[in-house]
Amino acid sequence: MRSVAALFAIGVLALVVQGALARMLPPPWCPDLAWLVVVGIGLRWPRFVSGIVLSVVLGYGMDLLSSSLMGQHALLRLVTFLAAALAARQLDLSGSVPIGIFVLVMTVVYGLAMVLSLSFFVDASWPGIDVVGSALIHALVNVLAAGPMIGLVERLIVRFSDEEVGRHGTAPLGFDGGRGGLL
Amino acid sequence: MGDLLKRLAAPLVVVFLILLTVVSMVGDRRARDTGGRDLPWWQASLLEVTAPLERLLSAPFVAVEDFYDGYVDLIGVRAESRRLERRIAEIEAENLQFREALVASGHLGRVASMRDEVEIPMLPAEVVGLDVAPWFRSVLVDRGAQHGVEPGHPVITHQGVVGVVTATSGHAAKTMLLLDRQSAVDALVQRSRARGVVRGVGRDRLEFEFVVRGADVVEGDEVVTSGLGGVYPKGLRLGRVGELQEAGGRLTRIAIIEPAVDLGQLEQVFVMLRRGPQMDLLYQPNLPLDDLAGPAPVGAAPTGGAPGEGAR
Repeated sequence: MRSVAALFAIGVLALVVQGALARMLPPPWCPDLAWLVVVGIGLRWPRFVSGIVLSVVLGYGMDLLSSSLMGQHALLRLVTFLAAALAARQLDLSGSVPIGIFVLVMTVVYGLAMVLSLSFFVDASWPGIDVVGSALIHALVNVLAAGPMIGLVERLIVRFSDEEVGRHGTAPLGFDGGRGGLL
Repeated sequence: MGDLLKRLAAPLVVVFLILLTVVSMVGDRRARDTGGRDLPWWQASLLEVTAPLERLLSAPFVAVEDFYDGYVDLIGVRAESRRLERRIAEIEAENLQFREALVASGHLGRVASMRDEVEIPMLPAEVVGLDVAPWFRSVLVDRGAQHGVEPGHPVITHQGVVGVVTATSGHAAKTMLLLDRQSAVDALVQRSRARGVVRGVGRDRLEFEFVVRGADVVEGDEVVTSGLGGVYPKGLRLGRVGELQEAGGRLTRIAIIEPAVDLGQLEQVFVMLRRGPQMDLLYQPNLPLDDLAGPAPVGAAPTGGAPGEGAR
């Protein structure tokens, strides 16, 4: 439970820091730190259900601080978590290069999905080629920030998992050392 | 049975969360159609906590930026002062001409009698946060429901329109900027009165879509709010026509608009504590005096106008 609280806290902190950074850096150049926390949870967090709930809650937090429709970021963060969890189980994402490639691709897909879903729901203008350009810039910035953010999430998971193992005497429900647990 | 439930737990949670988010989006879309909403308590609480935190964290960045801007501004201050003195003289002359014209047309007395009704109270507010997602354009201001701010209230600066309040908590309000993809404002060209819609496209410029036939729009034209959308009063500056795109056989044409307000450098804004339509009375000089009696009370729901101005 403490690990879930810690991940939630780091997710909210990432949102606040991101908001402060947005004052200095124009839109595509500001990293999506809160999204990277969700990616980190998807890649490293072994508990599926609590991970997906956490991702959706952090997505709602993002919706609150953005002019997106309430639930839009939440839905796409849920998809991000599923993609990351699936990738962690199917691919070897232990190095920084594979993670960088994963973050790059997912950021572009996320951006396009965001703009397309907006066009579907609110009759907004269809994205032009410039959206792809912005998505690519944003993806590169996210790749640069991915290492520290995912590393931070990983350290938190390891630390609190150790504490919970020590307190309960066994591994927490579903924790199998980094991969595969369901709940 | 227990095993089955355990196996189904994860897929059920996923399906439930997907449904929840989709229902939220549809609900939010409907709320925006009716001018926005006050946030539920749990969302309002989060906003109440994050708004001052963002302000605190961004304070060092803002201080450095202010220092730099102050230094740069100082360099051209004398030339700017002379330019402004000339401009004030021009405006005073123009103002005199307008007053003469009003007296001549007999409208001045009527305008004066309406003054109390059409003056819109404005609340100064500070921008404490920008949109955290690169795909949207909004700002968070430090005034909320407890200061009288309601969803649907226009937000402006002395330069022109900024956007519209879309959600409020006690001490904060989320404002969707004109640049946002969801933004659409009924507008007209000040010079030729050609009407159209100014839309945000998610970049640092706007698009003015107008009907090709009979429209007189040229580069440099000022585009202002028409007052017909039900959110913004008439005559607020939106921007200047920078470029005209070819119609390509379509009925409508697009003009690229440079926003009147530098929406990337917002610090102080004003929230208009009443929606726009009442203000339109000022701009209907041929309306009989009887029609002007008994204007709508402060905060009355807007009547007429195109639905959905502000948010598409």
